[in-house]
Amino acid sequence: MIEAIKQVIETAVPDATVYVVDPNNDGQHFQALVISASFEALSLVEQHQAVMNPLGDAFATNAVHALGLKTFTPAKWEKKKEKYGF
Amino acid sequence: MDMETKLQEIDGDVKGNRAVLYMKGSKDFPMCGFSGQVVNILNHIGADYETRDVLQDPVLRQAIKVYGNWPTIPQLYIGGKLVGGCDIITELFNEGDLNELFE
Repeated sequence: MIEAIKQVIETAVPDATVYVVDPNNDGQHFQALVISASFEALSLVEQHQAVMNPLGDAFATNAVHALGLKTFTPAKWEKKKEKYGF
Repeated sequence: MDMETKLQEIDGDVKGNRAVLYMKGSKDFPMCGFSGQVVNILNHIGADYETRDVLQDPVLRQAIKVYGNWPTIPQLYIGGKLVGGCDIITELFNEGDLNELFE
């Protein structure tokens, strides 16, 4: 499932660096971190729409419902990545 | 009620109210963790907002996803515009950027 989510996001945001993790190790609640320069032109909600809508099309609603998403421009990622263990 | 009519109803609702949260359940009885988290955050900052329970209206539950171009519930609208779902509201709150949206 993690690979499938990663592929959908990478197809939707071709230049993105994508990390998908299963923080609770329960195979249901996933966390996706998506870093892309293309986000610089988008508001936060537009960044999330660019990722969430393709996922909404690809997966059943409850799978997408349980996905935690964080989006970053490269600059924001540099500042925040330690928080995520990178 | 068909989808088209419901979309117009939503449009009027989000533009007719300062802040509207489409959620599962109500302020007092959120029926989903994500909806509950947004209610807790909005109550914590003392925001003034309306809620709509999508569990009471299956057409609304689908139409709001079409209207907002957003695949999940909850969805918060301020000034007629989608602010986001649970992740974005939580992030805006953590960054201290949420209060100003309600001024």
